[in-house]
Amino acid sequence: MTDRRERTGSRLLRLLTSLAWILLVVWVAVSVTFVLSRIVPADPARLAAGLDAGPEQVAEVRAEMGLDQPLAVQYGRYLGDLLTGDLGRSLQTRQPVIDDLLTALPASLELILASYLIYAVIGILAGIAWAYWPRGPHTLLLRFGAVIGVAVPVFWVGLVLQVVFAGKLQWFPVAGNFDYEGTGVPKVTGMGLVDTALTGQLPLIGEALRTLTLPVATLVVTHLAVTMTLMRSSLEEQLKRPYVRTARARGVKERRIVFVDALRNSLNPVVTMLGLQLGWSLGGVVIVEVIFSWPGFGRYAYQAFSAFDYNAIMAITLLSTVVFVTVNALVGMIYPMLDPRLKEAR
Amino acid sequence: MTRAHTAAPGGDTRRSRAPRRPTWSQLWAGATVLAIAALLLVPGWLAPSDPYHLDVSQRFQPPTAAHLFGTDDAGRDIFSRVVHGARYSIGTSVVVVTAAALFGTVYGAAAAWFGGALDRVLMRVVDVFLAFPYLVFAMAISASLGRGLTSALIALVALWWPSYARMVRGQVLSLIKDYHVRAARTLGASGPQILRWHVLPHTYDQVLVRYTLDLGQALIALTGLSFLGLGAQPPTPEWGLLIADAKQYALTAWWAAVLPGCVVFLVTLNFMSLGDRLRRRGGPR
Amino acid sequence: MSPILSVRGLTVCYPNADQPAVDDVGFDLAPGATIAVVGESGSGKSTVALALSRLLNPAVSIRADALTFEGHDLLGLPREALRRLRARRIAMIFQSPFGSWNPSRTIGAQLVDGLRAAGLWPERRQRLLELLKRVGIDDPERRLGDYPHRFSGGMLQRAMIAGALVTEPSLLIADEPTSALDATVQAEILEILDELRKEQNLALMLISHDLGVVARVAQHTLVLYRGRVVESGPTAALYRHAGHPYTQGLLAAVPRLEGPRKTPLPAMPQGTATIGGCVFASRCPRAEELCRTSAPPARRLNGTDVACHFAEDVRREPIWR
Repeated sequence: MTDRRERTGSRLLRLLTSLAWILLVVWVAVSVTFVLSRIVPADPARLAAGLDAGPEQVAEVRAEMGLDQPLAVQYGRYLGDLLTGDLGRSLQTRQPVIDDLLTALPASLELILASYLIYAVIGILAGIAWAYWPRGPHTLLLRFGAVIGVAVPVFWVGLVLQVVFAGKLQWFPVAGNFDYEGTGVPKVTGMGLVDTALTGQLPLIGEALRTLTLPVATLVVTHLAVTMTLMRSSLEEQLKRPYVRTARARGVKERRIVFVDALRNSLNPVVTMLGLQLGWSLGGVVIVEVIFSWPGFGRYAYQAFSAFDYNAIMAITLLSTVVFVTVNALVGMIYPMLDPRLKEAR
Repeated sequence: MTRAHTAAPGGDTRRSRAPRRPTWSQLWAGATVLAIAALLLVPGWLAPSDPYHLDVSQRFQPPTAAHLFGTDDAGRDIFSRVVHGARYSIGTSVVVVTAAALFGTVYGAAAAWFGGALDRVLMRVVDVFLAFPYLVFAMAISASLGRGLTSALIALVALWWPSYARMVRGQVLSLIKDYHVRAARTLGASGPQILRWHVLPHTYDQVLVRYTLDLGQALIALTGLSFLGLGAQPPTPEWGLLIADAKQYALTAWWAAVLPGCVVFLVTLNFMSLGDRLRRRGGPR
Repeated sequence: MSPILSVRGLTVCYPNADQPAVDDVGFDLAPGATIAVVGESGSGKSTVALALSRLLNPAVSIRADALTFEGHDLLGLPREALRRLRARRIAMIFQSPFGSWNPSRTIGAQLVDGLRAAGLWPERRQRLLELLKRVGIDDPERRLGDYPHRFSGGMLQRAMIAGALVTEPSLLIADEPTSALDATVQAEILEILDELRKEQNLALMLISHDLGVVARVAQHTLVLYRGRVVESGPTAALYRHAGHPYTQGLLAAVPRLEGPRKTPLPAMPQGTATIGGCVFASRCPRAEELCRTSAPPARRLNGTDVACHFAEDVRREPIWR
């Protein structure tokens, strides 16, 4: 009884520690971006007031934005606003940043989820197949893919796909996501594929898929190799362990040895990597969205960075930090499911 | 980087049974390293024409013998631009990784050597850095410092050193328990002496492997930043910027974007396979 | 009685190795009998065991004039038949107790896997529990739900034995089953093995570097050096009058309580080729020119088969005491 209570207590403590850690990282990130946003070379008030504004107007705008206050006051006010969920207004769109982000995020989520599902699943399966059949002509293909995947720059893959499949062959649109206009598809989630799927009209679903193909393919090509290589080497390493020989000596079927015995032990590094990739994904879509003019978080970030839109920049770094740390913390909770020693330690 | 390697006493045992005759893949690796060095040091000898020379009559020429990679919208020879751009792209990547490796090594070694509270504080800082999504932060830092190659460089170094710090700290921690270090201590060697001569040399092999692999990754990251307009600025023939400019007319003049990208890919591939080769030579550790 | 395991001219070559790891090894094993294979590490004794159960990597080449087990040709057997044979007729125990268990699955799950593979689940469940109790695991029902890290090395090895014998195999290959354990546990485990062997009429092939262990259980002993059988025969005869310098050296290495310290065997030299000559020549104080040029054939001498040109002399004047 006390044992259980102690265990619950330590679990709570662990949860609180990781929560505190997340808060610490986010706070540091916010502070760093705050400092960065105040050293931008461009004058935000000047940008906000417009090019033809006179010095008085600029001063007025500056006072309105609170930029004439001492830095400490600005910092305090920024933190206070943040706690109430106010991320400020974008200089470009003149909208609250939070609204901009909410409009942009679904399109990015669509890209991220679609590509992530594909490269995680294919990466794991291909890695297993590689370890399971280590010889044969298919390994040449896998090795080739692995080498290319780690060394190829995202922007190059995107451009080549665009030039070949959209430009020359015209199989897919050059740019943009699913166009709702005139289709009568209600914007429920903001993700073209999901929304068209909800209407159940095949031609529309096909259209949504067509717009999605090239950007998703770009992300898959550049992310697949890591998972695949890691899965393969990790599983291969497990299959060399003595316990596998023991299972073989017991006459256990090879398929059962690979999938029941070795696979679980080999997942740990793969899960870590998949977690990191998911955590990075918001940053990872920037280049792809720029190439394919995909109106999501990445393109919004690109525009904000280009225009020194400091409120947007701070919101973008904040959001991606929160996502990254949270995903990492969640991944940390998966390990005990893979390793009984950790599970019992909880 | 070669100097670091010769300083490693551990390297000698392996060198003693060095291969008698270089294999084809070793020759290939050597040749590509020489080619990259030539790009960096004497681009003028390799480039057929002036990378900044505008000639509107020659715009959008497809690849020919005269213009190996074709010409861009201003009639500049893209091959020459790529050759001259190596200095910016590869050169900056080398600086990024070198600075990150040096700082990270010193930082990690110091944390491990002094231990205790200092170690805990130093490593917490590393943890915080590693808990940042580095792509977005690289963009944010680079944008805030004012767009330019130097800003991109600073941004990448700031985000790259912690992984070296963590790696070197781990190695130093296990090395200072080693008998040869205890022996040196018994013989009365001072702390800095031990660190310099008996501990750090043994970390160089792994740092070198990581360094080589990272050169490729830094090139991808740097050209990516430039591609987004957060690195080099026009008219620098930096590779990422070159490709970003060519993106607008990629559908009509594919060569202007695709061929320089090919070069980025090949150079990265080369660094990666070089790193892989070093790792395999070092054996499984 | 006809042997259940018959090995003739077994030769195993690892890829890219210039010498075979096992070279022309042959022996017979009768039902219920025990044979010991002894030698230093690197002598090829474990390779013999893995070759018999065909657990070596497929890239390793195995050749033999005959390799028959209960009438099956082990080399010609298709994969599935081989798997069934391992599941029911040939059992194995390995050296490292911790490495031999999957750390992320319960002991029970892993033992049940073996029974399932043998097609004996769930009817042998009760028998498994009995055997576990028998080898010294208390409250086996509960312990089956535990993960390996909750067990000690000795306990893991006991569970391994129970799992190996529950299918009632006719041959047990034990590869250094006690080397990683404390001396007291070692003795217990050997005791258990020997008892169960007698009960189940099990043929036992015991692989060990420890002649003390071997003397306790094996009727017959095979001494392996660099993949070759240098001496073989009844264990008692081998102990009393070892005819090969290497056997004598091994015997001298067994620690004893009384008398002067014995001369240790010189360390194994690296990479000396023995093509054409006696494998032990480079380490043998008695070696002459003949030993380096011609390989000695095995000869019957005072009850053991010795592969030494000068076995008579060696026996008269032992090299190591």
